[in-house]
Amino acid sequence: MTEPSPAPETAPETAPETAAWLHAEAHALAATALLDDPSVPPWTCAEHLRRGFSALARAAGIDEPEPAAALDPSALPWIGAPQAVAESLRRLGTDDDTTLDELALRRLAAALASAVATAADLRFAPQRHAERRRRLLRGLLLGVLVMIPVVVALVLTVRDFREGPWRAQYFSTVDFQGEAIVRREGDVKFDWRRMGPTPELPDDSFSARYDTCLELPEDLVIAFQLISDDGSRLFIDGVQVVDNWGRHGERSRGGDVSVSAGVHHVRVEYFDDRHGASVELRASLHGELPDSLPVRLLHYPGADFDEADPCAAVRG
Amino acid sequence: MSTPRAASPSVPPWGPALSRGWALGCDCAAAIVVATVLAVVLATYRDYGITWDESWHLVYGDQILSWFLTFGADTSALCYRIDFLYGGAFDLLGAVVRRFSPLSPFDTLHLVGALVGVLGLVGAWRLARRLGGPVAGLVAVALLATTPVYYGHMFNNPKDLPFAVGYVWALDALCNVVLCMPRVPRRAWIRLAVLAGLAMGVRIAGILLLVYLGAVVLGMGWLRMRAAGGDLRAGLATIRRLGRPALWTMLGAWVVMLSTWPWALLDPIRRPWMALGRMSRFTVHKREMPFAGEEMLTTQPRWDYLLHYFGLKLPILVLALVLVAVALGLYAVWRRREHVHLHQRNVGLVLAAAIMAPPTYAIVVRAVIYDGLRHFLFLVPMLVVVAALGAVSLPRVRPRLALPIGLALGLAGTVGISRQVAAMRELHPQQYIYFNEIIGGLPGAYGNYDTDYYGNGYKEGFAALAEHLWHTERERFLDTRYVVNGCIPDFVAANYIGGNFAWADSAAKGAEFYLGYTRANCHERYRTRPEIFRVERMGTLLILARDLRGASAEELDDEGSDDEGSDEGPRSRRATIPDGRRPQPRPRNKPIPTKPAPRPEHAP
Repeated sequence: MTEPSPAPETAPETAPETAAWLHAEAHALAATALLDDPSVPPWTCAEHLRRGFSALARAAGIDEPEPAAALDPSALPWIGAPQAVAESLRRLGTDDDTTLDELALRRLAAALASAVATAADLRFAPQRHAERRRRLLRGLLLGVLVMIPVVVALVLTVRDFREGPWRAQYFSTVDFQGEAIVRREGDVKFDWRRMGPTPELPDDSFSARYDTCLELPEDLVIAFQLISDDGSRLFIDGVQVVDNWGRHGERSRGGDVSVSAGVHHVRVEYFDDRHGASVELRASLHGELPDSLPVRLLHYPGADFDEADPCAAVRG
Repeated sequence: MSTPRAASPSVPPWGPALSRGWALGCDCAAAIVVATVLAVVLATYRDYGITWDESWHLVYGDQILSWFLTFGADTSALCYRIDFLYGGAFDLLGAVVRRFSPLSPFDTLHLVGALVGVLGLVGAWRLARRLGGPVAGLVAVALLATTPVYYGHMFNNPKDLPFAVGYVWALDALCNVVLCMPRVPRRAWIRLAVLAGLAMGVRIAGILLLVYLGAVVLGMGWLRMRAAGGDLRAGLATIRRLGRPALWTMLGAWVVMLSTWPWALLDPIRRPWMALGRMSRFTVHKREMPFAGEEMLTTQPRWDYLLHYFGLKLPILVLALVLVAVALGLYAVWRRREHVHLHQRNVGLVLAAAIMAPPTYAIVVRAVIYDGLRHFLFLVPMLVVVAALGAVSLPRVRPRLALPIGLALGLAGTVGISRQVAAMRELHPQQYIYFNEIIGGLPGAYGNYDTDYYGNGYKEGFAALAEHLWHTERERFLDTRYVVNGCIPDFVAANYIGGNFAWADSAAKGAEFYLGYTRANCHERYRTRPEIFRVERMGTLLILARDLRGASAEELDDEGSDDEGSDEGPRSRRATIPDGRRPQPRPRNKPIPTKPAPRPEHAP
């Protein structure tokens, strides 16, 4: 929302000017209402138009205005098209209002109403600007209040959605041979059904290896669980701790592993033979129901790491 | 023709005049209520289950998006179940957000739905504030946020809740138009067109909003004619003047509605009407349901069906304030006071029509109705707004006693809202099954009315089963995939299984466990098998889990079919409560930790 430009500096409005504006507005409304009313002929609004334009002239500072029909509309700064109005205005000089045509009357009523509205825009601009500022500030205040929880939630959870801490390698063979597609993953929890992990890989007979570094603040006995179709196995610091290897349907294997405080390399290896393909690693750190390893404890080992000590960079 | 602009009505038709400071204070308090709800939503949206409609709408949203992205080549959205009869305003929004969301599809849908529900709170606040001032706005937002049937549906109702939100926003825009009459700014017409179009883009029933608009224009013409001494031409002139922008507004709303509705886009004049006709004669889901202690066919609802549900599912405080508002309104009509504010009368008529017309129509045509008041959820925000207007109007009946009446109302409101918050906390995340104290709360409604008709409790049921097995047979749990069956569609169950659970579409196909909710007496299947645990709220059963291990396939086959396969159809739940005893209220039988929300799926 853009703040409107400040109103031009003008002298304060005098009481006679205010009265003139009120008269002009009242006559504009009356003329419009009469023109809209099908129960009265249009010419009945003529006198309101004369008085309305005279009031407009007074408001413009013309102390003793001439009859409306003789007014020069270009002296009234709020008239949009003075030439067209002047022509219609001259017709108000007639002694017989019944001869006035409706089109001219409507044009004059519209011009008068428009002038009053335009002038009102300028006259009340300071108050209106102040009111807009107040509304803007109120909206900002309310918006900030409402958005506080959103910001807090983003701050608290953005860590969960950062770039994944797992280094994944995908091979188009079942035995981790050939060139691997390397990318980062957020979790080892996939159900590819009968598809491959990426369009570049075959739907069947592929393998995958996932590496991450687990940083524990204390010694823990962790219950690890691997559920996969087909085979999978879990290594901690190079030692196989869960064996779910082999050709089989979706199957679960798990066990308790003592892990000391510090940084440990975690590796999951997986292969798909045929049909369905899925793998999921879950862990229970403190006796709770097994679930994904908490992202806050995991660190990305790097795209190119030393196989002898994959977490060296993390420790360093 | 240019005329002096009518000042936008700054004084609300109802409600007290407040100083600027008090008004800002009320608005800030309302913002704090919305912020609190938003915080709770963000903290808990993953707790909610998947309801029966969600899967369809999720797929439909993807199909609509695909239709647009393929420039119409993918035509699956044009013939998908009966969903093609719905506009895609909400479904398409969900599909677009899912494209970018790191959350799972259903978590994303729940979050989007809940945020739209929060927008509904803001809509109710706006409408109440417009009509009754800042105090009414604050009361409305506080009441709606603590109306469990609204809050509970925010997370997993992909059509009734978004429609309710669109309806209250569109009515706010309509009331603005009415208040600005006879000189309505163009901006007000455009706003009404967009909002009414969005409401219609969720459910074609939103076309009622255009009917109200037409009625308003005709009504203004009639008033003008009466003021002109019965001059028909004066009335027609007014109708002509207001009718032109109103027609453009209707056209704009139609275009907005079509913009997210592929099926209707292909025949934009005829098909929306076909959808309306089809929805008016909706005969799917013919079955029996509990109602007032009896069984009733969904196709032959009693005339007082909605009265029961609105009377029993809305908080007592809201009901009381609605009655106050209605009584005050009737009193004003009865007095026929000449100084009745013109805007009060016009807006009052619009509100009355918006609340009364839909249920009256449903009663007259005996429309198919089920699932509590779900299909009429859009009336809940409106009733809350009326309640708020009643709250701010009551002290003004006796101006000398305004302060004590106001204080008493404030105290009663604080107590009532606190009780609601406590009840919602106890029900979490099953708020939508709330029943008020008139029937004795949820325990009193159990067996007499539909409770967990949407199957929201299954998520907690599956989590509780995993928790139970983990704690009772830890070693086996790590090396086993359990086979589960339940009274739940396969496509919904597929989202709860995985990990340690595999799904059997029939218990006789090797299922080791069974989960059943109370609808259609599913919880009474396999009665001979041991019960493992119950998911309960306020001592009332939602989900029952049984251990089927050791049962033969024949046994399971026989027991599983004794409800829906019987010639008598589903029996009354009241008649089949074990031991014939009513369930006694008691705290949850055990703390059932909610299953940690699933990690975002990173399917390559």
